[in-house]
Amino acid sequence: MRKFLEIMKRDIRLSWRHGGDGLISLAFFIIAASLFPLGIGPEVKILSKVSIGVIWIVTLLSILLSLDKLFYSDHEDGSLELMLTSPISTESLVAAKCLANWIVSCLPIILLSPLMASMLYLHTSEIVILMITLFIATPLLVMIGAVGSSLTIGTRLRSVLTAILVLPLYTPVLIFGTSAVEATVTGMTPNSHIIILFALLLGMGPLLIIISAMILRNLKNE
Amino acid sequence: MKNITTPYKTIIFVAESLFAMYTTKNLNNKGMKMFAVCNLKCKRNERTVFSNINFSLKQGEGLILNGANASGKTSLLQILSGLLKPFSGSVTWNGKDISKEIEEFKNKIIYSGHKNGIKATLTVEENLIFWGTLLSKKTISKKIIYKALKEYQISHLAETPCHMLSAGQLKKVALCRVFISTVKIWILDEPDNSLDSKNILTLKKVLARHLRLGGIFILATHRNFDIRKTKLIKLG
Repeated sequence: MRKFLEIMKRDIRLSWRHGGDGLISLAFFIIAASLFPLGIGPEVKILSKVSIGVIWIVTLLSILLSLDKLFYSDHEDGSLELMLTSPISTESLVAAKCLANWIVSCLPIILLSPLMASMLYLHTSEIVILMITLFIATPLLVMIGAVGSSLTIGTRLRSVLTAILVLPLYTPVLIFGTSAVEATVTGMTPNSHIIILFALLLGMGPLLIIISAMILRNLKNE
Repeated sequence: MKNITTPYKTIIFVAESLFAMYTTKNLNNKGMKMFAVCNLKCKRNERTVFSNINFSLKQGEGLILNGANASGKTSLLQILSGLLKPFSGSVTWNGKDISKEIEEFKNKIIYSGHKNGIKATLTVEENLIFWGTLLSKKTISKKIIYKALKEYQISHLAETPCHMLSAGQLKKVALCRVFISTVKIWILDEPDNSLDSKNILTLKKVLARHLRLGGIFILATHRNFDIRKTKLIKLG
């Protein structure tokens, strides 16, 4: 546990030292989301109709941006090899890095999402559901991304390849996330969607970490 | 005739096996653990890098790997540290195959590769506290870190961010990481790279002390390290 926290602490500290690496995702989120009213026009009717989808898709893309530094920078300077041979299980290593990445790049997005949502004319009740679903879904998105980025670690065109691998896997999360908020708009209860998202997180999360750890363990083998 | 000797043979066999059991148990009690490599073969891209590597190291013994470039020194070290799987053959620690008990084996080794694994934006001390925590069982004390820094004469750099350091200084930070770990088996890939002669002497001193304390090291180098109780394997 001490080692788990130390890895998290290091990753968070590193992302701050790198001139606020984590803030890049947030900046992308804000800029991309604010482009939509400019592009589509400020009409309340249209904007409020597309806003849920916009916020979700922009969130997915900004998480994708943060994935590049999840394992790659450690692979570059040899830290990853050393961590893989150090007395911590590879699963804990992956989990610690995912959690640190979530704190650095997803938490700010979740906290700022009400602002962007209200800019896109979502109501308060919908914003609450949006935040809840983002809170449940983003860790899952990071873990799916961890599998993708551990697969593409040694390849050229790493970022693009990760995006192509990971984005299709994001679709179930996107569908249940948006439909939960959509349900609130139409006056239905979003509970079932949220429960499914939660079940996905609990069921897939550990599995994804195990898969990612397996890939990392075999990094050197052809 | 046959019938008469058979019981005796059985008795002798039982006695022998009991004796063998007793001696191995005794060895274990003394804590003499063995690192053994048997018939190791490595293939990369369909090319056999090396084959038929055999050696065993008791506690207090070291191994030096010599060999030309691309003779497989790094591959061998990566196999020994569990990063790479051998094409055939086995690596055992204390009689157990490391590939089957990799998570337990990781508690016993420290691997130090070509790349230093030092983060440029963190200070020397921050880097070492992180690795120290990751590599040791107890909480790492700053005293141990400063002892290591003093050993390699870089105490004055503790607060310096690592991007300000030279290649040799970075190597020394990486060696400090090995110094502060409490594990038995050191696996070092060209630790003498970019070190000057004075620092190589320090490294030799640290390695010799590690052997005296019952440690094991396996080291790849192009130099001639002459330390007592070390074996030499030439690859390629």
